[in-house]
Amino acid sequence: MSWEPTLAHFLILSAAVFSIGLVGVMIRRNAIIVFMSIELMLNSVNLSFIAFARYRFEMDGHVFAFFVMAVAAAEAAVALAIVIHVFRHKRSVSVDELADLKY
Amino acid sequence: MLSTFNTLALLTPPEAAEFLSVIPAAMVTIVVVAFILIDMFHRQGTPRDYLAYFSVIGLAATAAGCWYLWDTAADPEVFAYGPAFFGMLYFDQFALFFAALACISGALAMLCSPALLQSHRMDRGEYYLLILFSVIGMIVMTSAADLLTLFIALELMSIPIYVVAGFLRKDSRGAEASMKYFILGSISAALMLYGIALIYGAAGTTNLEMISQNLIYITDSGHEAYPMVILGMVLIMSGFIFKVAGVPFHIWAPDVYSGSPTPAVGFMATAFKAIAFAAMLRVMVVAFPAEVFRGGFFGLGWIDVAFFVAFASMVLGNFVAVVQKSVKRMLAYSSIAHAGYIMVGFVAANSHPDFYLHNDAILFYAVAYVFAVVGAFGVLSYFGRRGRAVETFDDLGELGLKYPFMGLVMGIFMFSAAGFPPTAGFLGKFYIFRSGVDVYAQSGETAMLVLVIVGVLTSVVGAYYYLKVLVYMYMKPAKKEFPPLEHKGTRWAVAICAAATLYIGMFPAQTIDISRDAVMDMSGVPTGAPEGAEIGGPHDVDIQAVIRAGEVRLEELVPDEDE
Repeated sequence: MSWEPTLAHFLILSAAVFSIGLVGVMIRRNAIIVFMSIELMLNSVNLSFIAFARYRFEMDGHVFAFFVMAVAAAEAAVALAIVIHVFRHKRSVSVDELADLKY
Repeated sequence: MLSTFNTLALLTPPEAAEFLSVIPAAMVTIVVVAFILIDMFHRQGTPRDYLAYFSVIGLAATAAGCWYLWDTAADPEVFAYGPAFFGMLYFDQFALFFAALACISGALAMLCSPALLQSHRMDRGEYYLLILFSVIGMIVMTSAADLLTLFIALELMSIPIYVVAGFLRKDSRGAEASMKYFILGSISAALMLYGIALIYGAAGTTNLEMISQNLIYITDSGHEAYPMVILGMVLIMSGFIFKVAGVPFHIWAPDVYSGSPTPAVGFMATAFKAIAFAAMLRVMVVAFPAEVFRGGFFGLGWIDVAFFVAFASMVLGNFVAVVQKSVKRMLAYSSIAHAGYIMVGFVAANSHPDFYLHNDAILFYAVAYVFAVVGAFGVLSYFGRRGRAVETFDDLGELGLKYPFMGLVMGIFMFSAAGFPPTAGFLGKFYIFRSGVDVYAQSGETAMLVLVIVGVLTSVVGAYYYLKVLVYMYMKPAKKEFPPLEHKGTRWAVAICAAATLYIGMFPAQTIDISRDAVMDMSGVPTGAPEGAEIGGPHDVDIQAVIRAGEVRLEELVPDEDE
């Protein structure tokens, strides 16, 4: 019996990966892992775009995915710089250290 | 299904007139390139004030350019078919209005900056450059006609500001602010992106007008794609609510505002909010106009989401601001409250297409808000010397007596933010609440009246903490010395803000006309404008312009009484 993945399978996978990313941002303490989780969220959206684009036989979604990749790269550059910036001050990349700004 | 719109568009080369739509963004881009070239030849060790002035002049020229294009944008014959560049950018007065506002906000914030940067030994050109990049993003965002353009512009506007938040490198609070802003901002961008993906999946296009056409088939809640559309819509809206610091997504604002360089906070708090509201207005009105998506009151569409955000922002923002000890945190919570007030105008104007033209209240409020808040942060940055910056209310003691000019302008800004006549803030609040009462009077929606009453009552709370600033500045003893950062840029910037606040407050006619024109000319509105002609009353509408805006719906101006 042959089995082919349909649109729904890709969407469920995409939603699952997105949720993993969102949970990762919330519960992980290491700033680099938090950043990786954000990338996971962006890329799961890419998967959705590609799945929809293939389903509809059109190019808009593919194009959108490329733009999202470019944006993710720009975000990565800024994010790693910020992580280094924080590390210089705190000698740690744990987000728990970032608690000066509350009173 | 191949998107016919794009196929047709690809066969047609762009008209020369289409390039009008990129003029404001292109002007700022030219300023950026020239800035980089000039900064390259900068002699080490000399101050970079002239770079700030150069950027300010560039942004002022762009704002003037928007004014120059004003009449062209309203001309229906400039280019006839849809948005420019294959459905990517609108060229209308609405976009020009907010482009000019972003430029003005950025210019005033930059004018306040050189003294502070020099005091922190961070007198670098990149600071101005990053703000200029952000302004480009804002200009593109106001004219976005496609979710793709919108998303790119959103990121272009946000990413430079994550860096600016941590720009004072030796300050660990800046690093923290930058990190928090980045993480939360990226999550909101990812949520919004997921929303865009779902809408793309349901509508098969990312063009705003095409979305509204295609979604007509999915307005039935039994349709299999219906939950997807609702989820996508809510996610897109949550991205905007994050940017305006509305209540469920407001957590970042106080931390980021108190850790970032003070003049840049003026820019973050005003331009971001105004532009995000502009883009939200455009997206929600153009792409999701159907009654079932709008929801009315408690049909649970996007208007109802906006209703709860407005309610919660006003209450939480104002009450939490009361107990703050830090002035910047107080202003951050008050900016959450301001987002709530603007949201009241948004709810009132869009609760039904009849009231669409009431949106001019939002535009007027945005103008009043920009001048008051950029000015207030400008005054704070004047006392922002490294290591001896004004932080708490106690630090403000006697500053108004020692520095009469700064005391005077701070008084004007606080009166405007609190909503006292004869300042612009009073009229802004007045128009917002009047649009709400008008909607109540004509539609009998009690929810709208509740929102207005909550708005008025929380403004009273707001008056308490704004006047507290003045009480401390004039009536409390000084506990510490705060040598000011004397710089003519800061003085000019706050003087301009104060003058504009008073001028708009006393002679509002021009600003009202401009904001009304901008709303009337907003492109892509499917149903709103024609019905707007029936309101009458305070808005005497130019019927010709209304008909021009919606030729398709001309028949509907005459209601069919037989049915």
